[in-house]
Amino acid sequence: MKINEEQLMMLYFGELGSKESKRLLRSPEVCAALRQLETDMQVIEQQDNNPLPDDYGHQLWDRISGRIDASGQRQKEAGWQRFIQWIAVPQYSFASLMLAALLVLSAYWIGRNEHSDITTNDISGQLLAGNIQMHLTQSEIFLTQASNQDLDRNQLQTMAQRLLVSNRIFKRAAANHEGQHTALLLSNLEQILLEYANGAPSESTTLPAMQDKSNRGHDMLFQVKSMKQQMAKDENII
Amino acid sequence: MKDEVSIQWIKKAQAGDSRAFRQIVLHYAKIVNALAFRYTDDAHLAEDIAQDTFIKAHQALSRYQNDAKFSTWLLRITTNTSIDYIRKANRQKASSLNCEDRPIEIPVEGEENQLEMQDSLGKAMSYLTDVERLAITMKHHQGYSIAETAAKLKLNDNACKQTIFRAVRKLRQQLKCEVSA
Repeated sequence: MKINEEQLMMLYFGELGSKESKRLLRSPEVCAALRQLETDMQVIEQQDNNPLPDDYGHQLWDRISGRIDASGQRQKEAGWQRFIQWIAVPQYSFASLMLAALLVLSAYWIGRNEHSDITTNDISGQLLAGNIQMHLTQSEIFLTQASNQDLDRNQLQTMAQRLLVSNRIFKRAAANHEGQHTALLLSNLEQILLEYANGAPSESTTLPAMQDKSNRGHDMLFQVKSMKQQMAKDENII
Repeated sequence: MKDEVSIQWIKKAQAGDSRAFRQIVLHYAKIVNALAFRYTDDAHLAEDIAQDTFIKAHQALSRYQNDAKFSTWLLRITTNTSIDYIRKANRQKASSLNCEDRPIEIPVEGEENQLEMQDSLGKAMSYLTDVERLAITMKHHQGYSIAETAAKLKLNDNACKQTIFRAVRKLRQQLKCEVSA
């Protein structure tokens, strides 16, 4: 069987269908022609036309390593540049602005929540305890002065009214911070402060009433001192 | 084909380890250069292509997936880079790879004296035009199909087939001349 050159090459390159290939390969002439072509191509293929030194790989690496480092750096910079260019596109800039605003709001919200947790549990409690201690110190001075009768009635009334306002605020704050003992003490203190703030002229005219008031004042003074010491020790409201 | 480089080196190189990429370069440098030389028949151009191939491979390394041999992936980059280089060189020479009606320069018996006979078979490839050398190397050496080769070289299938046939004829003719000399 005769085979033309193009068919032979198609057969050699495997571009003929299997049926056609099988049909052609049944012919000894075709097989001989194919073998000759394979031999020729192998001879051509085996020529090593560009001998390279043994350390060619090292040489090549030395030539390109700097460019590879620079290329890696450029890729990083290109990523940033693409982001900047993207933001600069008018139709995306509004979206970018909104995205940035959303991020800021999210950060604010998260920060605010975290802050309030910390304040409630730690810092706020300590600050409140410090303020209550100061209030208790002022109350202690007031009760001592009242007990010693160092001030006249009007002075005591004015001082009691001032302390009464702060006492109510601290009582509520202590209750909100689960400082039940502190809140109870301030509640009792409020009763005494209220009496002085209102003046209670009827009580101050009889001896038993004055003694009772004095005893409750001494008792409260003791409680205030104890509470102050305890809060200073714990550095928190109790 | 030389053994494949360890997949561990490839993964490390993908993670940005330059020492691992160096290992890859050392492993495949000669193969890449040899293929580039087959495509171009020019040692200087082959060197440039080899360098460019590895730089492109480094840039595209993250896109390499293990479903194909690394050497196949790398040599495809070599092929594409070689085609780009030859196209660029031909543009500069105001010549085009896409010229399908290029005159066929088939050396025929009896005309040996008209050819500047080369000293060795090693220079047989230099008798081929750029497109013939690309086509025969892609088809014969790299195992591309005619359709793939045609697509890469922007030829139609029939023109690609004829280009490959012409290249084989030229090579065999040159071989006969050398043997008979």
